[in-house]
Amino acid sequence: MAYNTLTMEIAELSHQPVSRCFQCQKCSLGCPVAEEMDYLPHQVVDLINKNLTEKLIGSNASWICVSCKTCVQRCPNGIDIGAIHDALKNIHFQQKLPVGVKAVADFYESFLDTVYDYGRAYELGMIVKHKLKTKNFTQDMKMGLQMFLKGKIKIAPHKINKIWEVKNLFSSVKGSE
Amino acid sequence: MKTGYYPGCSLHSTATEYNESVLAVVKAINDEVKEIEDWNCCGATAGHSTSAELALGLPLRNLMLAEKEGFEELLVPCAACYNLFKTAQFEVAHGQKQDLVADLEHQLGLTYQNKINVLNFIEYVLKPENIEKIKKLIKRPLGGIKVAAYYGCLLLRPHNVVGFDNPERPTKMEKLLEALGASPVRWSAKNECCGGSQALSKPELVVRLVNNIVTNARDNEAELIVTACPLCQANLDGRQINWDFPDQNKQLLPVLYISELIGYALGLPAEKWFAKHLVPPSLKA
Ligand code: SF4
Ligand code: SF4
Repeated sequence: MAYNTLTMEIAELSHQPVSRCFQCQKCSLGCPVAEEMDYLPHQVVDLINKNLTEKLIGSNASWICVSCKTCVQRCPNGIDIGAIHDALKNIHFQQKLPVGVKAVADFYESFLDTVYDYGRAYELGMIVKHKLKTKNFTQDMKMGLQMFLKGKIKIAPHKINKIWEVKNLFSSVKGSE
Repeated sequence: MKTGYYPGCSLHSTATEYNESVLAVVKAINDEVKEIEDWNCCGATAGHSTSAELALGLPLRNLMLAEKEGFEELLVPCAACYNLFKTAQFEVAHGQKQDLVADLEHQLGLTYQNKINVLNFIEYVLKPENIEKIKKLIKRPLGGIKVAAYYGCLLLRPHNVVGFDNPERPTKMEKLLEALGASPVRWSAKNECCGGSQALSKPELVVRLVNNIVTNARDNEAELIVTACPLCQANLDGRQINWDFPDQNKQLLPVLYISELIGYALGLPAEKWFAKHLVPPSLKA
């Protein structure tokens, strides 16, 4: 069978032995967030094997995956579906495809923006950016406020000295500047 | 043995009590660790979700800096950073992304050996020389207090990469708790995911996972939960006081870092650490 480009890209980025899958469904049974996914872990592997990966464009599964790696731990064939979801998310960002859960993609972006600017994550900057993007200001307010009052959220960012060394790593994401 | 220290971003912000208690325990047993100079964020979930280059590059720069400073081992208390460092070492050892490794080597001016022994805090404490010292220094034995040892995901999985404890039935933290005089409870949620990586992006999902973990600990009569992960701690602690936690009428369970409990047993002043918790620890500081 000739595989389509997306199937090939997933294979190349994720390095998973998907052809070994015999659909035992152990991955989906152990996945803590399977019930929220449109395609369950074993179905994702099946779609790859059947070269029907276009169905995964805009699917919510990759964005719901919490990277807990329970699937690969239990799969009798060592297939890491978390790694497949990472590959799918990488491809969605690279090719600007419609993402399955926008809040999750926005959060990654807000987080990495602060790493790009400072070399380290800066929670306050990230939370403010994230809230502005999602316009959801009431969600988690009580917890956030308490954490703030307990001095758990740093007011000022720390910028590393050789910030260009970190910025260079972003060239594949942001293009070279 | 020259030991480097990588606190990571959480230990400098939301988890300062983890940072302080880890360093206090290191000092109490007369050991020394030195922070890697000019370290950067490991990228966390956002990094590996966004690009394979960031997934390897961000942790690898730190490993290279550590090697440059001549460290033979590296203490990484944050379970998330620890997991990504181990993953980076695994990828390099398996010859993946060689161009990226070469680029970074060139930029930092070194030939990377990929040899540093990366340790999480539990591994560090369980080194024979360290646990012996800790046992001798105990001033406040924990008096059989019932503790649920919570491992979560990042310390355990995938086992061929992190290789730390039995991924389905881990026991190392329990051994440590027994040495401190606590009684670890038997419970089934110790290696379940708390959803920490989605804490800000999909809170409703996280509430369900946290509720399951806290309820299981309480059903097995735990008086507190210990963890070695800043994401798990913030999540398990913070969600219990949040308005949307479904279980808020029941008794709340304090969630301590393992280093705080060790520090407490060693008689170190713990008030400052405990004051950072949203569910106040029941131990008399
Ligand atoms: S556990 Fe492995 S073999 Fe079984 S269905 Fe899932 S991916 Fe396929
Ligand atoms: S890594 Fe993702 S797909 Fe695999 S079990 Fe965890 S949440 Fe499910």
